[in-house]
Amino acid sequence: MNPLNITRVLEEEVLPFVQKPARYIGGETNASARPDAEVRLLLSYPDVYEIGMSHLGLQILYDIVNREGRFAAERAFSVWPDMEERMRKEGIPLFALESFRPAREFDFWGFSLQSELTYTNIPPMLALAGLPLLAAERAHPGYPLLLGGGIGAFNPEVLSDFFDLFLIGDGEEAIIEIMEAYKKARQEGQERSRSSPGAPIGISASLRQGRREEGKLELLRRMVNRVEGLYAPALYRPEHDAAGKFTGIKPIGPGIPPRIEKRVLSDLNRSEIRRPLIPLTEVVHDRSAVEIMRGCARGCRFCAAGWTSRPVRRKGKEETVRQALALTERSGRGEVSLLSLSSGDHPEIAAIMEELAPALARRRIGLSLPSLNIASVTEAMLQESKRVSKSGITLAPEAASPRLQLSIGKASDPQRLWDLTQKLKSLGWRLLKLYFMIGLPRETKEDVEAVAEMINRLSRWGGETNVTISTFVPKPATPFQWAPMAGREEIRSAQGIIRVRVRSRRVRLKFRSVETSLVEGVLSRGDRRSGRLLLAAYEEGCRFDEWEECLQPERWARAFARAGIAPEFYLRPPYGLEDPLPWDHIGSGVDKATLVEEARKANESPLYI
Amino acid sequence: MKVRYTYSKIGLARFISHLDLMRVLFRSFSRAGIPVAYSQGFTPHPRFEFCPPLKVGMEGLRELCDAELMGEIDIPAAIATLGGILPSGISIGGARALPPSSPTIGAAIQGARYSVRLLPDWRLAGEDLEAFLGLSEAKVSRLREGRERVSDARRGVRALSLSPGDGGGRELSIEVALPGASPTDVLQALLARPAEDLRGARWTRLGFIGEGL
Repeated sequence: MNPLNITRVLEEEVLPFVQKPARYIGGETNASARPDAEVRLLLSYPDVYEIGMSHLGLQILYDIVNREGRFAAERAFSVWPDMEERMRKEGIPLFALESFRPAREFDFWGFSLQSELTYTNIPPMLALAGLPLLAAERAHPGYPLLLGGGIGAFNPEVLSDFFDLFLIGDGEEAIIEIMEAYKKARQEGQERSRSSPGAPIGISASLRQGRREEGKLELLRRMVNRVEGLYAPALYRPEHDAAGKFTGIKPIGPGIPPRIEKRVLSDLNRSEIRRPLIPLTEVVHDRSAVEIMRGCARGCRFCAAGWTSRPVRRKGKEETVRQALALTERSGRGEVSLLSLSSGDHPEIAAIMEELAPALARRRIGLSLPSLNIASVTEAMLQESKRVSKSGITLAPEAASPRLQLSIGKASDPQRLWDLTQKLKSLGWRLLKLYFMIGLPRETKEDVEAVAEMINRLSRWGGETNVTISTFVPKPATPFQWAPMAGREEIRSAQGIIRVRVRSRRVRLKFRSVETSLVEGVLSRGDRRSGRLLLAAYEEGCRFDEWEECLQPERWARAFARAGIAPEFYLRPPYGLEDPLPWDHIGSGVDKATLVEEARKANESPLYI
Repeated sequence: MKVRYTYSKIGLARFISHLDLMRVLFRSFSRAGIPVAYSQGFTPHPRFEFCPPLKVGMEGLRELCDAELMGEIDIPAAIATLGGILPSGISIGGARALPPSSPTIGAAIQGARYSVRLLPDWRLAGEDLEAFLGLSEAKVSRLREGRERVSDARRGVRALSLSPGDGGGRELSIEVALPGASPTDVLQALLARPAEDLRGARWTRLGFIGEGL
């Protein structure tokens, strides 16, 4: 089906029958379709439009690629099951929102990997695009290369069966290099095949297939040799012992780097969205975002985002203010958000807010700081954000007892927290949002009780309190990458303790579901064999697992059985501090020795203080 | 100054909901540098007034929106600027300054005109229209959020006509008072088919009827 047919059928036969049709129409301000581009990239976030369009990384890459005259980036997101059903009925493949060109006609298909629970949306997208699911089955040069990036790429093994390439680390500079390298490698490949003698008449299908596979490996090899930070899983072979324990991974031939170091954008001032995409329908984070800092020096031991985004790089005050005002003018949006993992740690944050808040207030634009570390919040900051934003403030102590705080490496002094809430109250704030985790390594019943106690104490601060209790999921590339994940019963009982003890009507308690956390836990430290599981999950109909109402535990149980995989192995992996890990060949910028050291410190933190 | 804008929402943009469209217009005005006045109070809102919402999926050719502005603007220049900003499928057809005493959109609108493209198997003749207009009441029912809702499809219907449409088909035009029956109810009553069968119908709101619009 060509783009014209697709739009016609969409308009007549598909969109009138689905929920939220504006998700699928494209046409946003600054959306860009360039039919004459030399290399075409389709950017995807494996969830629905409202979620995908809220992700900053995708917008950054979209803007960078479309600035280049020779290249083009378009978008496609997951479609909701009602849309998928209707598209299948009408024979419409997954298409790009800009040109309505089918996804399979792109040269590259890039996926932003931000949450393991979105991984189950990838196979359905490939299937709807009419592509073979497994990378090994896509040897034909007409298929797009699947490229993964984002925090999920720090453990690419889980998705290696599906993807051709992963970019490790920052994409700003690498994305153009990748497209250049592809163009070059393809040209060379064509020259080579033209200069070699033509295939004999009657060449067998299997021989042709073999040549295609070789051709694709050669293409991947050329690309990883040209672009740093690029990982092609097909060029590596992992090994396991009889018990299924990972023992190492090796390149399949010479000239393939044994280890892939992540890309680091050295100057954050150079990261800017010049032509922001303005969605036509409401998205989750509907605001102009300026990333003021990348990386976090705090070293909270559970935090994958912190450990994989080092070193800390900051956007300067002048540049931040300039970008915020420019984005506001170009987007017409009513809110600016200063993004980072811990905005209060930016040395110029007070000065930025002092300058930006009044300038935005004059334009009736709100200013928000989504992540604040308690230790770094100052009264001046609260004053400034109060001028424009009356919504809630979020604090994430994660753990309540001093010994567990010490063990996870994140301190939140109860007295300081209380004082902070009193400041908030005097400044007129009405909503406090608190985040805690249960199931942390070495957590005892007393630690969980301490969480309930802290919630109860803070709930008397003088306003509304919303509390989210999530379950700790050990993540690769963090000091807790060896930690066992809490079991179903432990998580339930911890949730029970908090539910029973927190009684205030001024508190709204929300728990992350146990089953959701366990699936996340299995995928988080998955290895090459996890591809089987994702395939089985796809066949069982698992999708939109990030949406708690969509995750179906019985489907997952069947998927585990079908794939012959015991969740237990991945929830409590059999790896010691000295053992090789399935993601060790991916350089996150932090030495394994440092992680080991941190893990030891966590284990040696005193039990009672 | 108060300015009345006429705009259209056609093609794929007809799938943008009323609420989303309002946001699109606010943002576009803001980007165009048009000084929109805001309401007072805890959460100030831009002072806009819109015509009754279009159903998602329905095109609108002459939709209306009034904007209260702080100070005077050059109207043709503002239309040109908006033209470069609005997403595809949404465009400003015209704008004029309103005299201070003019009635609001809500007060001025007395009715609206719609057209719907008839599918080949939707049998409808001139007599059917006359018969319908001769009725005093035409009850139709549809499911809404799981509950059956009965309404009178005859209420406020002033005129019906059939005409040849694009591509050899036929179109039904409906003129209905506001408040009055929903045009989709009118079609449902005329065809005597369940509402679900008519979901894919291609509707257009042609414009509004009223003094001084």
